[in-house]
Amino acid sequence: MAPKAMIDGSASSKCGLPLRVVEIVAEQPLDDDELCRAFLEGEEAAFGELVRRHQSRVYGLVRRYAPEPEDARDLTQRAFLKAFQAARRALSRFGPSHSIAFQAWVFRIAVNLGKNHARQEKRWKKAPLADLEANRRPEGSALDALVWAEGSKLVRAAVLHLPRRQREVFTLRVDGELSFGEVGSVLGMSENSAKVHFHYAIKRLRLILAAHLEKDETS
Amino acid sequence: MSACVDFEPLLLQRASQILTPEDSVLLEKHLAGCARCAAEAEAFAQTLSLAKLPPLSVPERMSLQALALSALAAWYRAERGRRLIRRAAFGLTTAAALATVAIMPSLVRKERPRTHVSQMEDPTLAALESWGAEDPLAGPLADSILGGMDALDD
Repeated sequence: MAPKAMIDGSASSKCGLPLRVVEIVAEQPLDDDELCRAFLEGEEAAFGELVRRHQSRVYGLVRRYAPEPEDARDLTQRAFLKAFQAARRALSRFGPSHSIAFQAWVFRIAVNLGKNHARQEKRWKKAPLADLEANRRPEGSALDALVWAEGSKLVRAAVLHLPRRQREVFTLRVDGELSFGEVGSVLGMSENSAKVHFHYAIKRLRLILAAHLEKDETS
Repeated sequence: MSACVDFEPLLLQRASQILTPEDSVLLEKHLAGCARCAAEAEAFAQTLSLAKLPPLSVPERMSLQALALSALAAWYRAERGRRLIRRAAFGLTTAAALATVAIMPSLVRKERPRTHVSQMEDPTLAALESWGAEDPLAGPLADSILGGMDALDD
């Protein structure tokens, strides 16, 4: 799968001896575009390499919307298949010189699939709260753990009720672990817009949490 | 409790992990002396920490290891289905085209006007001869006309 560069030594060297043909094999990995093209041209191994490259982050993104691990896995798989189909359509429609933004496509598709899944199944309230106990909890008493669990439940539910753009930016950044530039390219906005949406999202979540804590203190 | 207005953007950038090294030094210096901003920074960090999902469990990580293979199998299954649909569509189109070719001549024949066909078929030699042999001055109409002319001569 590694790209090869060839130095053709058909010309003579300064001392008159023919140059040797040297093959230089570059070890740098292929980018997404090259891997996707390779698979569509019949290189089966490229599929696995490309999927393995993004699967953890795509899975991390969709499990925000899919409460069951099986659902999240299914959505991840569908996101990859749809991204490959989109790449094939783009190449057949716009020609082989058309660029393939595979990462942006697969994350965009994953966001949409996750959102549709949650909407169809009406599972907004059933976000993966069962995993609360497995989350990082502060060292301390059982009461601290309980407070942490309640806060986590509240904030995660609030994430799913953020305005659409804020939610998409937030989940791509936090769950998909994308840079703001990548988030921008996935959602078709500038890097600065992605940052602004993220800041609004944090502030909103912070206010929700503060209101909850104040309510707890008064009661 | 809210942060100092000048430092709120930096607090958000800190929470987003996009603070430049220079701004980071500036902010940390400020946080050391400002309890309000320190509390706000802690609140942002806590909010993000609470919003994060737990790390992947062992079964989830294991199921992901087989994802590439199962996705590839699903791709080939979908491809087979696509080919079948394409073949079926091609077969149906071909059958429709053949049926059209077979039916078309009879349809065209049916659409020809009947009167025109009969006019073209009738004028045989015998019919022409019989028509030529007929007396054009025979018949009641001709008699009445000829009778009228005789009266005028008189």
